[in-house]
Amino acid sequence: MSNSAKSTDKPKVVGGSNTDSRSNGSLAADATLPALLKEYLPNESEVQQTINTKIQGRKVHIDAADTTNRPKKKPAKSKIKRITSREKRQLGLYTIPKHCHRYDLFLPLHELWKGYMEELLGNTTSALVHSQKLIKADYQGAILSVVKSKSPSYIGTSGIVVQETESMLNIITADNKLKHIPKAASIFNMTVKGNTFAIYGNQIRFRAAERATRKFKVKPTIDL
Amino acid sequence: MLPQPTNKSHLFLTYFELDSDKKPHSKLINSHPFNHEIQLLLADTQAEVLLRSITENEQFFYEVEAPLSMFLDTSFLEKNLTKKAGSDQKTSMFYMHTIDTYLDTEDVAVIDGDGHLVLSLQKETYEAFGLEGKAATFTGNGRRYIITIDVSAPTFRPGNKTFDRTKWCLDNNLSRSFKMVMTRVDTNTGASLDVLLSNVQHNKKSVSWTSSKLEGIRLPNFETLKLPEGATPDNRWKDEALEAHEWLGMATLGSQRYKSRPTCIVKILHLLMARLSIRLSVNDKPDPFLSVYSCPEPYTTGSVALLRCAGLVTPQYIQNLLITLRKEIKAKQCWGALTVWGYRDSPIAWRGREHGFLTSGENDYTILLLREEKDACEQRAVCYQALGVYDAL
Repeated sequence: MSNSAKSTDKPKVVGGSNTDSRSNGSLAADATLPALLKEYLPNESEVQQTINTKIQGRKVHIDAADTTNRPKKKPAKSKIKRITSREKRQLGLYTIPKHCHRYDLFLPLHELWKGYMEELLGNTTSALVHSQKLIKADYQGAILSVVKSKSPSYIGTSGIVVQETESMLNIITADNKLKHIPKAASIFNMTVKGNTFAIYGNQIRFRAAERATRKFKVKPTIDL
Repeated sequence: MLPQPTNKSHLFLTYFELDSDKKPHSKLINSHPFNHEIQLLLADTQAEVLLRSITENEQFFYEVEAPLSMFLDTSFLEKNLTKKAGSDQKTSMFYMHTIDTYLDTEDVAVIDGDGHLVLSLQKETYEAFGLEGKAATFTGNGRRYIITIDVSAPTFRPGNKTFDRTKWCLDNNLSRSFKMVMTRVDTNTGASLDVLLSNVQHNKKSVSWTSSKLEGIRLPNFETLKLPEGATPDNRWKDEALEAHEWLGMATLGSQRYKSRPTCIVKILHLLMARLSIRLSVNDKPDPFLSVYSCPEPYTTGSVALLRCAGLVTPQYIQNLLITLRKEIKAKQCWGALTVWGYRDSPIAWRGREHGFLTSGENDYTILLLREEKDACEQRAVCYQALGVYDAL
């Protein structure tokens, strides 16, 4: 009933709901309705029209509607369609095109990384602090070289890291080749500010983002 | 039957005819590339003539302390190792063995006569080295790896992928010096050839012979070891052959030499072992509680002459020695034996197959030439091949 004051249409509906408008015997409603409408509607000529179009023949349930059998509404699909990581990989969004396999192209990235290292390590000189910061640092742009590996052909590979995934490092070597090197079963060397650090590949087998927030524990080393 | 202990060395016995078409003795000698000590034994005669004839041609080898990358020097390869293109037969063979390196715990490098550089690397070295190899068969779970590189190929030159990678690996990852001995030999004549070592410090050594004599001993004639034509060796023969081997071993102990700078314990041990050859002497009557050894029957009283040398000795030289020994035996109407000791710590031994150490790195052989009549045209021989625990012939 509280709706009646708000809009023009709804109150009549509610008012009409007290009687069965289909039944011819409900004379009381027929008598009172035009008078009531006349009172509320701005234009008197619209009364009969309103009754014909909006009230006559309208069904109103008085008891609660039965919702049990109503089909559930599916949540509306988001307008923005995202593609999955797998699709991204299949589309080749992560692959570096062949003409970009050039060492000099990635040298600026390395310079950027050196600046990042300056910022990260600051004025601290302790190698221990450095190592703890380095293990969480971003390696994209760093120059890494493989010093030990279970697979002998990886040994000696050295270059700028261009991509890091959970278990691989992609490296551009000085002879302009892209090498995919698994982190597992290898030891990498990295020189930062005159110190050379050995990175045990087995211990950094996480995504870069995960590695940055991870708590690393001291592990006794370590067989390849 | 009791279970056989697994870690046992083996001794292979062969009975053959030296002049048969298969040339078993020559195959045997050639199949064993790295020999470091030789002993010739002549029964009941003087060794002066033999000594003179074997020292006629000087046999020498080089002691070098250098990194392995010296073998990748182009002029060195050209002079010493590279096969001549187009000819199947090699005119010379090059042998190298590192010394004072222990196979089970250290890195060992050898070059066999066919021009293969064989590296036996410990796991730690292998993982940082950079060349593909395969895990050694007998050392459990990849503790040791074997890498074989053909350095004698004419294409093995700068610019070749294998060469460049090998050079990088040897320069960067295995740059430490090795103590090694090397020699080069003429394939046809067995004479030692010079090794071109222009820019490497080296020490040229000749194989020096020492002679000794055991006198007044019980000397068996080993006639029972001869088998009639067509007969195959049986268990009785085997027992007698083993007795002969034991006798030869004891005679050898009498001529035992010290290695350079022996420790006190080694000295005492050698003295004790040398005392064992007393068991052969005629006057020896030990308390049976101490020893029940008896000389193989039938024996006479006599003497043996022993000639011994040490150094890196090539199979070609041993072939020549065997020929000389055979002539001497024929002339003197006696029997003789040639014993060769291989390097204990070679990664490869018989027929280029893998060799292990474990409990003993034996790879030795003895060829016992039996006495033949002056007009006989055959020469029968018994051969003993000692093998380490896991080795195969």
